[in-house]
Amino acid sequence: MAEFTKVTTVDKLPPGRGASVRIGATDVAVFNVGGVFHAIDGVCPHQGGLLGLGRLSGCVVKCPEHGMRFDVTTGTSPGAPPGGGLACKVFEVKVEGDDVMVSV
Amino acid sequence: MYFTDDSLLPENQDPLIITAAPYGPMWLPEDYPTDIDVSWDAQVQKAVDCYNAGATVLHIHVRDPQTGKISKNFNEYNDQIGRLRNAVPKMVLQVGGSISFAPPADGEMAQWQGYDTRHMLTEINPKPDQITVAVGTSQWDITSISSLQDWPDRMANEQTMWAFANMSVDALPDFYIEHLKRLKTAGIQPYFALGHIHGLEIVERLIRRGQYMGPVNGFFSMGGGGTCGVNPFDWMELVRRTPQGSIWTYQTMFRHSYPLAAMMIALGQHTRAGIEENLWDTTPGKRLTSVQMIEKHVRMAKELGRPVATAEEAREIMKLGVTYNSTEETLLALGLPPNRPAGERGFITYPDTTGKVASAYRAGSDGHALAGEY
Repeated sequence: MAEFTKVTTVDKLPPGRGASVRIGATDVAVFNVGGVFHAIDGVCPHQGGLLGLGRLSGCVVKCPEHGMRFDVTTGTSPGAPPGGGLACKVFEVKVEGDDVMVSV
Repeated sequence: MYFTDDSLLPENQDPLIITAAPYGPMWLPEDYPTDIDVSWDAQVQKAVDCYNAGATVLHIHVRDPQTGKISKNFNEYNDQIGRLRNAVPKMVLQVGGSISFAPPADGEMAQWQGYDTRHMLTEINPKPDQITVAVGTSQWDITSISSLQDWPDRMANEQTMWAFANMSVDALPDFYIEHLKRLKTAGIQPYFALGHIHGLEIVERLIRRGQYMGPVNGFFSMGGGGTCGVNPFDWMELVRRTPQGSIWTYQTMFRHSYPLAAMMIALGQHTRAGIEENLWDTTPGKRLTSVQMIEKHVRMAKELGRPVATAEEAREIMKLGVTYNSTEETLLALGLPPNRPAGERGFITYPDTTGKVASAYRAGSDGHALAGEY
């Protein structure tokens, strides 16, 4: 059974915003896309920028370091051909009351 | 740079400064298990090996031994800079500026707050000698001058190339003006990270407007796709446009690194070697380690008769510890014309000269004597 950790509260992460949090040794990027919360691996697979500090446009976040982009709902690069490739792991998110919780 | 008749002779060139870039933040240990160091000791030993091979500047990224990925922990950077300072005390320690730091503990949350987390680099203690400062936001498609065979198996697919092709480096005035101020306060020399000639133009404007005073050192990171590519005439134009008193390193991607290094060694410029931007020897499919790449640069310099800088020479050439206190002093030291005095027409020279060599004979527009006139 997945273990969830509280990472923030609903009021601290309004729609259109993201944040970087740590759960154990894992950096997690959590986002509010139109009221729905999503979480992906927080470290950009290019050179390790913190995706949670990137600017969110719709459901696409842009890494603050070198601009690599990811769809935060799927962890994949927007517009990329179908298949695997360089993707961020997607983490399960749930909201309990005001708490936003992530399972890594 | 202005080349005189004797500029290409090795005895007149500065000794070659080789920057080692051995930490490869783009790669994971599985991409090159024998040359990507994970433990603290191995990362330090790599610095020692690069120094012994001939590199005098160390371009630093810190890898977290727990995860094998690039560290986001500010304290780990402090600790590692300290270890490196002890292990290679003479080497110029240069921290790569594209880093931001995670909240230090569980339960804390970091959000976009301008560039505060990137500015934290200026607070590293013990302080490094240099921090790279990107100037000028640019598209940065690093796939444009490579083919799939250049990339590690993990990345050699269309999806990954698409992600890399769509990158853009964020380096706006909102970031670099404040960052330069903080570096000056911290006593850390900025190492300008530019992608093309327009980045260099921005640096000159920063100087002319009093937003940067001090020695100008840096590197051109030329990956194509929005930055300078691999057209040697573009490389030559960069060399031509860099101020006489500045020091530049030229770097590109994968096997292009070698023809670039050969040209820049011959032209009296400086080079960078390591797995951060290249995994290969000149032969397709043959790997080289960072140390082997440095050794190759040393051999190229030796064949051309150009000495390789000692660490003391590198510090002196790059004017580490030197500060300037005015725009005028900075422009003069760079060999750039002063700012235009109000109302003055024409191309500007320094006030105590006419800008021409005194001559008893008539000279043509290029300053040379006119035939038959003396």
